[in-house]
Amino acid sequence: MSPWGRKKRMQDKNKKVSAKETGHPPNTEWPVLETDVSDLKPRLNWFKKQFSNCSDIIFREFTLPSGQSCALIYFNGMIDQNSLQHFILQDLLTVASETEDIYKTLFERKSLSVSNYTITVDLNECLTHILSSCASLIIDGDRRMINFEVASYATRSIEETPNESIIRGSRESFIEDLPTNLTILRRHLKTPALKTESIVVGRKTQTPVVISYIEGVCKPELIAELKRRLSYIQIDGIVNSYYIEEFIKDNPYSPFPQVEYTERPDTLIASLQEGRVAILLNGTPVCLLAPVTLTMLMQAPDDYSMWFIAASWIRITRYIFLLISLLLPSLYIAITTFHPQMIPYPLLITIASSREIVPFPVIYEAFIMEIAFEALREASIRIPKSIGQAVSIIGALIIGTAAVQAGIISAAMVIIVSLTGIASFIMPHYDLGIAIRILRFPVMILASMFGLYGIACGLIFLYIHLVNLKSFGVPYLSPFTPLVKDDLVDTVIRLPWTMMRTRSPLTSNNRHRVARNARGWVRPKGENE
Amino acid sequence: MRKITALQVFTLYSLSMYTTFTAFLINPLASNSKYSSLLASLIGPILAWILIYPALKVTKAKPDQFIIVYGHELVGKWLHIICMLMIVIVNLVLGATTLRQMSDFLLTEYLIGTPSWAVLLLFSLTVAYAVYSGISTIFRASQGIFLLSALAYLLIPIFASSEVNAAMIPAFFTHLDMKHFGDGLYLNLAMFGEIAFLFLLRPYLKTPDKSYRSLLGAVLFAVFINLTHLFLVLTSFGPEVTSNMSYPDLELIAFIQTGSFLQTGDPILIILWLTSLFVKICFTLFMSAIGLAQLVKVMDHRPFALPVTAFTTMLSIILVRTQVELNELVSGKLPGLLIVCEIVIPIIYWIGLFIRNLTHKHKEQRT
Repeated sequence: MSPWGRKKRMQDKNKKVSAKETGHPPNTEWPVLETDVSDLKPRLNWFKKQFSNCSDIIFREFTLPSGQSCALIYFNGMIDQNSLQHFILQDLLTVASETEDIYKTLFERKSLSVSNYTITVDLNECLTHILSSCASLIIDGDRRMINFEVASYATRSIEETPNESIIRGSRESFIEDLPTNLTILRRHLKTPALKTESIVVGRKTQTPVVISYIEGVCKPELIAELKRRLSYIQIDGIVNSYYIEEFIKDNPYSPFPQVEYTERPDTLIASLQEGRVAILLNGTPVCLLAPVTLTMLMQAPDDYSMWFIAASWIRITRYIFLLISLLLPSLYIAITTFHPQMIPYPLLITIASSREIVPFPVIYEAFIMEIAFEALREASIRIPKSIGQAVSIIGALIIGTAAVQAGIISAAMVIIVSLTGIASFIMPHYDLGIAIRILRFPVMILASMFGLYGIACGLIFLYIHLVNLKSFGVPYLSPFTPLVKDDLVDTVIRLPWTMMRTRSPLTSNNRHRVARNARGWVRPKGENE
Repeated sequence: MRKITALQVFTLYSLSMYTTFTAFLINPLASNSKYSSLLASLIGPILAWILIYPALKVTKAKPDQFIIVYGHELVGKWLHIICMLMIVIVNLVLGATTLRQMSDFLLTEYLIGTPSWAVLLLFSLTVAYAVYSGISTIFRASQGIFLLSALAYLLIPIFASSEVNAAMIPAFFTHLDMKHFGDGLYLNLAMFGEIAFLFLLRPYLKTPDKSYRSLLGAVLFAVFINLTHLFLVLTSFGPEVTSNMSYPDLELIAFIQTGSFLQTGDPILIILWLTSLFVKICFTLFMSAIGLAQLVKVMDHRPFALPVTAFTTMLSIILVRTQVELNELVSGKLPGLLIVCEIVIPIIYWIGLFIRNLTHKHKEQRT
């Protein structure tokens, strides 16, 4: 049975529902060879038919000293030629010249030096192995085929991630190669409880997806739920982790991220220890973590590598700037348009005088500036690095100053938009920043129509949405609502590890993670040194 | 099913009671009860908590079922339908009244000239979303905003304490009047009696008995906030001036000078009142929606969420024509209707339960 019963379920489903009804034709890309054959020729022809017009496939036909015709099939550049030459071909020729029954020697006594191989009689399975960087050996006269796992291809070296930089802590990051990422994980978590269950997703890409968790720490129902959701994914290809994320998240229409992502092994390991589940994919350094809450998205790896009071202060700042990022332009619009009595008189004069020559209402002014800022931000990602900084400076300083001097925009609005822009960069999670950036605009419109009342209604709507939102059954606003007292120690503030002794009951049944006497070496007061 | 914790009950009712009181009840209390309003606001809520005991007792008969579903076994089919329809209608009227009070406040103080339908439409959309989402969303929403709201309400008296006219304090003892006290008690009883409706949703409560105790906590907490605000308003303006103010608590906050950063903080009250009133309106509309759904034997409240919200919004527009009519409704007819639904109807069911138990015992003895 295939992992997590998907195959059986799909077979059952296919029996009931025709391809026409589902809109998805059954997988007919790899036609099965009509008869089970042990001859080399028909099998080789079948493979050649499958790999027709593939310039990188190699069919290496040769005859053993014992007289059997053989063929090795593999993709050029995907396997280690040295291993193929020395440990497969050379051994094979030696073994064949020394033994009478080559089949028994190969398939039963397993006399080759290469130990990492699988034997199959299914041509489709063999095809999958070839596509997954194996070299497949077919011998005339026997149905069995050997798939040697001698993969070797160029991968990026392990470097520091540019997207999740850290002051103090590990510089290691994941790369695009899944086995390397699993090795990194295994190297740091030396426990047999670390489980890595694999599934293949993507009809054409055949992307290996690994679910990783710590057995006994992670809730079994969470693992089962994740497997259930993954088993439903039917798509041609998985190119990056967001493909998976979109399929498994609870509310696909919510702007808020419901799965966390990271490129950092230390973040992943810490999350696994909290009882969360990780999803690793081949071809991307970005791993997914579930479940996630809003407070988790406001945490940065640095929070745990500095003094807890400093970390708490930075976190509080982050929350303040989250509100600034969402509300500052709206508050400015609402107060200047509907509630100017709130502004102290000297400040009101300053704002009014700066707006005197501006021909637009505040809302237009705010929209022009916000959209210009969004354009600058988007451009800075696309522009080549060598000129990106210059363009940013030109955009921010020269255009901004010119717009103020020309009387199109007020100086106060430039300050508001700049501060909002900076605030949106403070968010540790990029997707959360995007959500806030998008939501800022409807709140601005409400503020321009109804003042503070509009903002309040917008916030209430947003709040109800967040209260409703769940990530794998975990409420998005926990531990605030519903209240989880034990988890409050690591939210807006972070207390020292001696006070964060337990894991969240929402993600783990195994609560204890720090011993009660972890600082037991401290002498009681009054005791002599 | 059992999702609502005792803490969530505490937060929702605290928010609902102290906001309604400080926003809309200080004015009628000051004009009806004068200096006796302080005592009435202390005794009334506690009396309300005691008098809703039959509601708890009645719903104990079948703790896993809604009384709307099995209530006909206690009082007969037609009386049950009449009683439940009354509760549904009272909740609709209560929601519409609160909605109207809120929109009047916004339209007279901050959004002058804005069409009332636009103000109501925006708010009703958020209410409909919450009501549709269900009871646990409403309770969890209240839990999330409680801390900030309560903190703000507790801080306001500290900032406004400089306005107190200490010479008025003896009047709270020397000017006690039984008629005034009775008027204040009537208003408080009706408003705080709303806690009785909670037991219509008994199957949703995680710990119903604990919830009754947490209702007492909510009542006491709300009483503390209400009394501090009422005391400050009465000692700052006196009962006569207060009765002529539409929103005395707002005027009190307008006195607070927050320094050079903000000239006045009273527009912030919009957010404070709105969030708490939102929770209250959502709860009353949810009660109406689920009540209607169960009366027509539909177990899901969601098909009724939008119609009920739309109806309440319309009702809030046509219910009264002027502020004077609204005040008359709030301090005259509505409290009487509320008291019937909150206290009298549970007592009728309690008697029904008592008679049923008695006849049941007799039957058992005979057999």
